[in-house]
Amino acid sequence: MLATVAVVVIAVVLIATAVAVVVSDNLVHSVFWLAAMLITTALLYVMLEAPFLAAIQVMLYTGGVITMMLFGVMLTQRDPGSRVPSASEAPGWAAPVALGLGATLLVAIWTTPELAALTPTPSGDAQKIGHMFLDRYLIAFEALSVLLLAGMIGAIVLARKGDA
Amino acid sequence: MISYYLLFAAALFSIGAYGVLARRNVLIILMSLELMLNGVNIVFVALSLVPHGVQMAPGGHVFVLMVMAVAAAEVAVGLAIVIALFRTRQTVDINDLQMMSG
Amino acid sequence: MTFTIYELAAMQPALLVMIAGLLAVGLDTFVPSKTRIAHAMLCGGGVIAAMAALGSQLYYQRTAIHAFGNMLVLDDMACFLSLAILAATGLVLISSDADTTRRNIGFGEYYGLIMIAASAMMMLVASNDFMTIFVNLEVLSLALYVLTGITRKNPRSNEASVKYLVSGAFATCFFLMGVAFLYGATGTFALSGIREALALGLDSSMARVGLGMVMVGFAFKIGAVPFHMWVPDVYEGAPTSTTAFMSVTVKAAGVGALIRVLLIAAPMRSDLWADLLWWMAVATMVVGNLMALQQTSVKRMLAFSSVAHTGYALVALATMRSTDETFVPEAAASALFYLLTYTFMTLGAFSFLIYMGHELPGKDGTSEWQDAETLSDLAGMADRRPWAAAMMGLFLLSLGGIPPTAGFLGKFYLFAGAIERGHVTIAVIGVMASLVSLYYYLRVIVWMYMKEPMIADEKPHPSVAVVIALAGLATLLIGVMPGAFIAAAEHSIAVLR
Repeated sequence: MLATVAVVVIAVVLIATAVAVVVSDNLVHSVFWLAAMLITTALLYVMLEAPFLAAIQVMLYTGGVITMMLFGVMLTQRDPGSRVPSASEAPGWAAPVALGLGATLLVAIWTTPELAALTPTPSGDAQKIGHMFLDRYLIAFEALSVLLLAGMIGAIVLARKGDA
Repeated sequence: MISYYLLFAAALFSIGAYGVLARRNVLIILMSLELMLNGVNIVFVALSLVPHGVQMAPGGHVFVLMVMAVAAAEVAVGLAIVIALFRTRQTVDINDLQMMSG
Repeated sequence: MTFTIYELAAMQPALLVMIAGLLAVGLDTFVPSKTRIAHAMLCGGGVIAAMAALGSQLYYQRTAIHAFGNMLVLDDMACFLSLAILAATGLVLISSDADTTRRNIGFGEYYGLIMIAASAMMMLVASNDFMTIFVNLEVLSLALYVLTGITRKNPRSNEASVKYLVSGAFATCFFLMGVAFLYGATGTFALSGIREALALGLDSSMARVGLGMVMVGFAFKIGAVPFHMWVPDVYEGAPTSTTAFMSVTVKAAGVGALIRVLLIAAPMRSDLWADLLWWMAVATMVVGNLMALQQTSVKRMLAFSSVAHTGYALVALATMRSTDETFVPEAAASALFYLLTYTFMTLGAFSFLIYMGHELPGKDGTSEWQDAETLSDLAGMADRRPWAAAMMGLFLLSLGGIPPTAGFLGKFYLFAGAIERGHVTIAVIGVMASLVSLYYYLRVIVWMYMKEPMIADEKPHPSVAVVIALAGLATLLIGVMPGAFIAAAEHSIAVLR
């Protein structure tokens, strides 16, 4: 019972913060709503019995991504906090497309009845995940390191100052 | 129970998609993409609970970590691109990016 | 699970390319910044070594190598597409000599990113599991976002890379949601595991939506209508050598991965995807060609034409399910062969635009490089550059599908196969579309041969001439003796498991 209440509260906060990110007219506000949304997602992972992912989510997203986002905002706004074009100037087809997408996903989820009966059970502790990374999924893990390297080279090449 | 988690994730995904399609500021679009990826991650975690015959090791959790790493790299490169754009054009508004058309 | 050193052989070609690329990045520390010969030699060496490794796999090893828990498989299709990707990479390495020196791009990072992207593509076509497909798709996308924006003082290049990043990341989200749904329905990321689960009747609506979203993700990446909006802007804004590189290699890698997904993961459920692909192929051919008709910029016209050519390749996939409901996987061979012919003719056409580049006087006494882009840039070039113009004519006729070029055979093989499997409508639409395309390809030839020159100071770059000659040779060679190439493509599909 307590768990159900917690999930409902988390869900409401999650959706509300997500909407706030998308409709806010102030970039800095958007970033902070995003941070709130990401931390709420971590709570949802806890409810799904995935504490390791929750910890990583907080460290990587709020620690890394939000910081980068704030840098991005500060480096590209002459006047931080200035208004950006609001969502009301959106093309008319954006909302129907997004709604159609959501409806498709909803139908797919709702017509798969065996999902409703499942409840979260403890799974995926750090040790198990680590074993899978270096065993079953070794090659993907290695390819991921190349991805980070490519990302690093790319970011430096594009963002540095100087000629060329 | 799991269906409800999946519904939140689907909602998050659609809200993010709306943000990408509707907003014109590149930074907000990048944030909306993060919303979408978070929706995907919740789906992975929730669906790794589905039993398929033998007790599966949580491959979904591994995939979530991959997605997180990719998202971080994408944000880093994305912001570098946005900064390069801002240096030459003094704008990060998609509507101002109309040099090519036809 | 234990791995043996033998399994490394499955990724050896990709590994060689990657190592050469990473060394090229490091090389900047040791050689003077204006010397590029070391970078070029290193990367060229990597490409040749990888080709040799693939050749030995094809001729001495012969059986496919399943490695790392079947996440990678180096089979004949992977070798075939890897060789096409490597050939394109090699040619781009030669022709990018012009772009890097003219535009003052750092050699280390440029060559390094090209090689990283190429190695990711080689791994992608060998990926047998959605996890490796995803990671490699992302590596090549990230490298290409950066390569598109690498002339970072050029506003068009910036704009192109922003558009590429946003649409590419959007596509990735769809792809991932599809993978997540398929995972939920089948409990695995392995393509063969998904097939087994689907065979057991686990085709819930979740699996169907998942498969659909994966296909949308692929359609975005290869630029199929209606997910092609980014293609013209990105191809036009990117430096031309990058455009040449991504227009051919991403298509080969993306279509290759899509073939593997469809043939390994969902072969007996072609009823789920064949119709979707049919409409996508028709829309892509029609829209691509009609939009190309309206362009005055040759570079943008070639961008739309590359959309149209994606549509032709998709015809092969859409008609794998014949009208009498039997499934003919061999049909995918014509897509592979088409991708091979497309590689050389498109690369040649874009290289010609680099070749005819000229200097534009800038504001403060400096000058800026401008590749040939509009029809007027090419006007009258047949008199002044007869050989290069003749080669460009060859590429354009091949793109339009005129015998005896490679493009003709590619299209003939595609549409004849489609008719054989009973798909007459789509074949007729395809042939009509290529007739329309002749108009805009021939228009370029008319401008080159019948108009007076309007540009006086084009400065051809010698190394690009080599690329044009090699691509022209390949286009003719495949056109005159296609037998070996078609046999290789058919064999690649026949042994696909």
